[in-house]
Amino acid sequence: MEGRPPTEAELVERARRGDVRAYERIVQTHQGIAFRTAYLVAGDAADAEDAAQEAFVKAYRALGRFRRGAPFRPWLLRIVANEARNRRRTAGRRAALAVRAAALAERAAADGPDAAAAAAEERARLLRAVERLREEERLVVACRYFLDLSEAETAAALGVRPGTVKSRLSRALERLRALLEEAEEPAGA
Amino acid sequence: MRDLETRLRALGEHLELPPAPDLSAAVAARLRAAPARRRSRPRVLALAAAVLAALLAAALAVPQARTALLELLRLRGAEVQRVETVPPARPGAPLAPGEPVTLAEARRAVDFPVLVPAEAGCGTVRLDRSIPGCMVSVVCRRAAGALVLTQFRGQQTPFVLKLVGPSSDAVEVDVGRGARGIWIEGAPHVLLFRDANGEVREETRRLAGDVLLWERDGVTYRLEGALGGREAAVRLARDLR
Repeated sequence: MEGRPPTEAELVERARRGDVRAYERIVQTHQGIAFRTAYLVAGDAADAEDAAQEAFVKAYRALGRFRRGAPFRPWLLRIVANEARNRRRTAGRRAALAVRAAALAERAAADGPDAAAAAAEERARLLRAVERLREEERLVVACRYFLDLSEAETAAALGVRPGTVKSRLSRALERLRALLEEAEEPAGA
Repeated sequence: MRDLETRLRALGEHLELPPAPDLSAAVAARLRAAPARRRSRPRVLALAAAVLAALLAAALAVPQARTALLELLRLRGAEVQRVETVPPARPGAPLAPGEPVTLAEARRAVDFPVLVPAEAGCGTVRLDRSIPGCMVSVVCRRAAGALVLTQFRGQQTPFVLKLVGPSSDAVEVDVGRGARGIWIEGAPHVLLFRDANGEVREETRRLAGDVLLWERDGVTYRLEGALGGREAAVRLARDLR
């Protein structure tokens, strides 16, 4: 017990009994992914910070309902995404990836070497295609590939069943492929 | 398919997301500033359970006391436990604890309306600041003796546990406007309650008289002393505004 750092389950158990310091360590572990998830859903950094903070406080108070031994991250991300969705709705904002596609391309141009510039240009094109997806498809792509969330975590964050994540993702990839081909055709002609 | 997924992952690594702020300090500060009900509840229950266990053990130590807990009367958030033995009382504890204040001072000190019985002689008011949110006692002088109306804010889910001895009666009464109360007659008793911070407090004043206990809008009220019987006490409680 003394020789190794406590496991997450042990920290959760301690936090459940009211140990704020143990919970602080849990927050440190998950705050990065919590903030990024909130950002993708809310589309605004200030709202995302707010949502993530509120979610951690709410999660702490709900620890009594957390199933012992279950993975903590999906459970947390569900609360985070809910908070973020509420803020997005309040702001009347559409979920945006809010990523700077143009900045990507510019930086690539400044980088110089042709291969790097081409790779950057390719990424920018892919991103433009992602941004043309429907919101629910864009979010599932962002959760799975940009945040590297598991299928279960994506389902929790988006408030849908894992099966829905699967079908939505395969539809999104199909659409993306079509969009990319469409974008390449005029250039190739 | 594989290729597209690989490309998407690579894109993810190049996306410029705003840097994640450090939330742990802010979260911990909020949790320390306002301890959750969830956090305090198990502790409160554990404490109450410990007190009950001790009582039970003490009662069971007496061979004849096979039925230590004789009866349990439960109101919304309030429980009356009838036990063989009541914990020892703190001798000489005042009937109305706290510093003497004027009614206006008491009203300024608390965030609930301080109720005063509509009769003459209720000029003595005491304010107990040792209880979070303060406890106010209004003392009325009656021909038969003193009557005390105690009022304090409990938690949203009030927790009041009253332990009464075996020779007393505890019944549920209607104190009007949807509130139910507990009437305890002729009993030495002890009151456990949860204050506004969620802490369990034990009042070890042993009273021989009758008591009417009720809760309304998160405020716990207790009438005791020279009440003149159950009906008069309930009438007094119903008329309080």
